[in-house]
Amino acid sequence: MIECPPAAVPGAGRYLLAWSPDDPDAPLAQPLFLSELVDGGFAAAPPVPPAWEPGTRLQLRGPLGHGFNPPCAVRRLALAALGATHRRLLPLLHHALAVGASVALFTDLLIETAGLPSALEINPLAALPDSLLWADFLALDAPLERIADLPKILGLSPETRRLPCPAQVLVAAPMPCGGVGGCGACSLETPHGWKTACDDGPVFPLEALL
Amino acid sequence: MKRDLLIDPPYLNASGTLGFTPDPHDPLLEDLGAFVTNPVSRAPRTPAHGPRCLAYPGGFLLHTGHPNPGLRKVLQRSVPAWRRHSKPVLVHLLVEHAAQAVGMVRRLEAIPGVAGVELGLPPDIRPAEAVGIVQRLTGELPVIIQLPLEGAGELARAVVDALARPRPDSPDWGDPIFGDLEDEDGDMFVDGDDLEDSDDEPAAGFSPAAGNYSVAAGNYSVAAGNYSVAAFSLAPPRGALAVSGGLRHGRLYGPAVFPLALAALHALRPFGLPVIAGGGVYHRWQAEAMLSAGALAVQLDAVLWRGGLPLE
Repeated sequence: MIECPPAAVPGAGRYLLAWSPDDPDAPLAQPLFLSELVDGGFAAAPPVPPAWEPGTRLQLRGPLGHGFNPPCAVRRLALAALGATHRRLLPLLHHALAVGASVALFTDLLIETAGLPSALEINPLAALPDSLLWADFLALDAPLERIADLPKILGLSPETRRLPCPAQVLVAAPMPCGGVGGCGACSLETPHGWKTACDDGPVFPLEALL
Repeated sequence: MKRDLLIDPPYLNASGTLGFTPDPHDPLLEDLGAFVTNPVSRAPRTPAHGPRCLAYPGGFLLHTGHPNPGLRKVLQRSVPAWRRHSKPVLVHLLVEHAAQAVGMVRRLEAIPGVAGVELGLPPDIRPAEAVGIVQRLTGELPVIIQLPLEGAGELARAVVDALARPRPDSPDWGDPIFGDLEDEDGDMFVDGDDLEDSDDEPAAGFSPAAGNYSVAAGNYSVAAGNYSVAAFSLAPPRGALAVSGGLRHGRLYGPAVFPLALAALHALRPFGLPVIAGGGVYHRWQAEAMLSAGALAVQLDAVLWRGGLPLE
């Protein structure tokens, strides 16, 4: 859990850059994404540096980047985790369930279901294309190296490049400079030219990536 | 008339850390005596493919390809901000051969807001080629020669020896900086992988010749002599990490670099040309150690991405 003022809590898909003054030799700041709101701060999605123990002081920069912006009246939310964690998608889950929407998670990760709402339906990733007719909105979390695979994962043909529902993608990439340096480490090629996850993202409309 | 380069306070960012234009709202800039742009090449460069940032104990490796929109677009977008900045702006140029270097530096001579140039030599450059570049830099802008860390001593010796000789009577290479390498849109994209993994043979045909050289050094300012070369700086060291499919080569950053950088500074000081040191500086005592060892100024790199030097 990261203890911080409410204004510092990043929205779903946005991030903070955090470093500890108690560990000045850590080479880089750590991007922190919201997993769950808690009193006094938020629970961060992994990875969190193992050197950080309860009581570790942190300096925070942000919130940074562009986050998820689902339509207001989503009744059927599809979440797809293609990387190492599903936890960056959980803020969307909690909000959707709070307004009475149905939520389905698609992933090949082994999910620890303890602590997850029983109303959440968990499916393998292969079931995602068939479920897109059901969903009002799709939120994906994908590592940078899998962005090129999205059409295949979503079952899009070269002729059909549009989904039946709006979709946004959180591009998970190393972001060493956090948008200040233009270092290029998180660059991704889009039909509209090269973009950076740290500044132009991390969340992009799906159509901006295909 | 040669221009002085004043870096006060004696800190500046390393190229590649703060973008192409200084952010007027960035409090970090208040502590820097000059601003160095991201690397700029003649033609636009795309990001490198594959993993670009790999962490390891003590540091991380970057293999980005030095993406940039090319000198023409950088100038279009950045000159107004450079002119407004209250501290000197140094443009870092990526060059592969002498004609390119000369042409790009000449282009910058006419740009208001540019206080100097940092010329990034390719990692595999031969001493004779480095000499061929520096002997043709005779404009007003102070030029900082960024040496590859590996082989810095040999390169520095060759450069300083050449600068001590009379300037060669060399043919004017003109300024075809935006010449026939452009496509019809005016730019030619270069794949960013080309430079990071480059084994290219630079253009041949250099011959060291005589020149005159003198430096008048104050605490933080250098007045260039007949040549434009005002100081040396040091590029990050290079290394490799294993990834699926082979090795990934790139630039190394992090606290583990500091001893290498300090040793390189000590090795370069006897040559008599001012040295802007840097590499792995994460504490004020490290910066002060470099200044005490005779560095003209200290470049800060990845520490700027985590708030700058801590108050200690």
